[in-house]
Amino acid sequence: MIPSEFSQLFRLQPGTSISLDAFDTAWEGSPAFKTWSDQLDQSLALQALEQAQSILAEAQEKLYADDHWAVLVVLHGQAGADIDGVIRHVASGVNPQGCSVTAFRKASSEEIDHDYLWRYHKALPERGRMVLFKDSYYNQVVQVRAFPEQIAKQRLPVNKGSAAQKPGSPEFWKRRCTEINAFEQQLAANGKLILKFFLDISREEQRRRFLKLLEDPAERWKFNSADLAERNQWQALQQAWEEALSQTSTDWAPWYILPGDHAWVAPTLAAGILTRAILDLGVDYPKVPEAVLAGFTEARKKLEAE
Amino acid sequence: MLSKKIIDQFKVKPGSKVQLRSFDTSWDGDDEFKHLSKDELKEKAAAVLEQSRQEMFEAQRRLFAQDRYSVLAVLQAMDAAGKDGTIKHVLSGINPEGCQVVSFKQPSVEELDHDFLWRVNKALPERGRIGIFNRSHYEEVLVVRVHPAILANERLPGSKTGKEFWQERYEDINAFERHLARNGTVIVKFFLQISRKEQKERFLARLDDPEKHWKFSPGDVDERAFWDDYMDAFDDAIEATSTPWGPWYIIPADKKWVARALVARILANTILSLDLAPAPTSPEQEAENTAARQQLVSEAA
Repeated sequence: MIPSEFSQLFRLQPGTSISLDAFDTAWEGSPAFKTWSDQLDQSLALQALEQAQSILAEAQEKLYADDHWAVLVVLHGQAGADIDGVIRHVASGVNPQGCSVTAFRKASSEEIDHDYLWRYHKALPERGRMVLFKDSYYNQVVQVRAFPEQIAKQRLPVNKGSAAQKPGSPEFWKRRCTEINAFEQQLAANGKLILKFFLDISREEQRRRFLKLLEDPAERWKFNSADLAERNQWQALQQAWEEALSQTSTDWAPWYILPGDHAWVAPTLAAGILTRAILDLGVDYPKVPEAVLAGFTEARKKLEAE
Repeated sequence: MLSKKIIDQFKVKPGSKVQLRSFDTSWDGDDEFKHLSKDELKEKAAAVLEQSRQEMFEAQRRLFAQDRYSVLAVLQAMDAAGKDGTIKHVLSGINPEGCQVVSFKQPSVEELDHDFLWRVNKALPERGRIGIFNRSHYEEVLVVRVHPAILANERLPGSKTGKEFWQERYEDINAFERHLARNGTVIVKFFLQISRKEQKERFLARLDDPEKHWKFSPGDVDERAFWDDYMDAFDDAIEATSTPWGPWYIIPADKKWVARALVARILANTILSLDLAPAPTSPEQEAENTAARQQLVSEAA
C-alpha cells in the first residue's frame, strides 16, 4: 500500500485555490511529488497497487455485509486522461455484485427537463455498494461552462432573479458549486463516503495519446471527434476545472489531484487512497444481536434433529 | 477444455421433462475424467474456471466496443446453493463498466403496484453490457407459488388460479424473453442445484462461523419444510421456460468448484457464440479521424 501520508499529499485542502499549471503532471519535477519520488518507482508502485487491490476486495465484502455505508468515487480528467485505466486497476479484484460503474452520456430530453443533479442522484450507490462515476455532475460546472452552447439547451429560466440566476454569469457557476457542496454534504451525512479524483495530464501528453489511438486500428473506435473539440478548448476547460476544484473540495467530499502522465502512477494512488478511506470507516461483518442468536440455537437444534 | 457433450448434458432441451429429484447434485466428472484423482479433478476445474474467465473478459471488451448485443445471465437456486460465491468467483475482476449484477429483494409497494416484469425490465443490461440477475422474475413462479400469501399481496385482478394461472405466467415470461432475444439480448439461465442434505451442512457451517452469521436467518431453516414444494415449482418452471432463446442449465452444485467451472464455461461460450466483429467505421468517421490526426501532427511542429 502507498504510505498513508499520500492521502494527505494529493488531497486538495478545503479552501485552497489550485493552479493546475503549477502541478507537474509527470510528477518528477514538482516539489510536492519529490518527497515520494525517491521511495516510489514503478515496481514499488505495482506492488502497492496489488496489495491495495486485495485489501480493497476484502474491505468491499465487509462494506456489503455491514450495509450502512455506500461509496461514491467520482473520476474526472481532460480527454485522454486514462480514467478507464484507473477503473480497470482499482476494480480488478472487486466483486461486481457490490461495485458498478456509471458512465454518463448525452442527457436525454427527460433528463434535461429535470434539474441538473437529477440524473446523477438517481445513479448513486445504495448502502453496501460502491459506484464509480465516469464523468459526473461536475460536468455541469466545467464542460457546460467551456461549451456555452450547452447551457442554452438546458431550458433554464432566465428572466427573473439575481445575477446568480443568470445562466453563464460568474455568479451562476459559483451558485452551482455551492449547490453541489450542499448536495454532497447531505449525502455524506446520510452514509456516503465520497472521494473525487482529478487525473491531471499535460496537453502534450494528451496529444500523444490521441495520436496513439488514431494510429491503432483496434483502438480507433475509442476516439471521438468530441475529444478534439475538447482539446481545442483546453484552456477554457482547465480554468473551469481550477475554479470547480477550488470551490468544491470539502471535508465531506475532498478532491484528490493525481498526476496522470504516467499510466502507472494514478491507479496506484487512487487504489491506495480509496482503500485507506474505506478501511477508515471501520466496517466489519455485522455481529448478530443476542436476541437473534437465541433463534440460531433453536435453528441448529432443528437442523440436527432432522 | 470441456467437451460439448459434457456441457450439453446440463442443458434443458426445450420441451423435455425435468425431474430435479433424480438429478445428481454431486456430479464431478464423466467417464473421461475417471482416471483423475480428486485433487487432479479440482485442479482441472480451477483451470477451466480461469481459462473461461480470461476468454469471457476478452469477449466482454469486444461486446462493449461493438455495442450491439447484451447478455443476461439469470441465477436461481435454493438458499445456500452458492449464487453469491459463484458470482464472486466467476466475475470478480471483470471490467465493471461493462457488467452489472442485480439482486432482487422483496418488492416495494410501488413495484407491487406494477406488473411482475416491470422491475425486472428496468434492471436489464443495455447493449454492450453483461447483466447478472441474482434471483429474477422466476421468483414469481417459485417462491410466490410455494407461498400463496405472497400472491394474494400482489393485488391481481382476475379469477384464474392453480395450474392455469402458472401456465399463463410461464407464457408471459417466454414471450418477454423472446422479445428481448429478438432485440439483441442473449439470455442464459442457471439453476444451481444442491441436495437437501448439502443445504443442511452449509447452514450448519454458517452457524459455526461468526463471520457468516449475517448471511443466516432462522427462517431459512423453516423454509426447508417446503423443499418438496420448491422442487415441484422448479420442475414445472424450468420445463415450461427452457426455450431456444432462453435455455436453462441445471448445474450440479454440491461441489462449489464444479458449479463455478461449469457456469464460467457456459457463460463464456454464450458470449463467444456471438459475432462480435467490430462495426466498420463510416467514411465520415474516417474523414474526421484523418483530419484529427493531421491537426495533432501539425501541432508538434
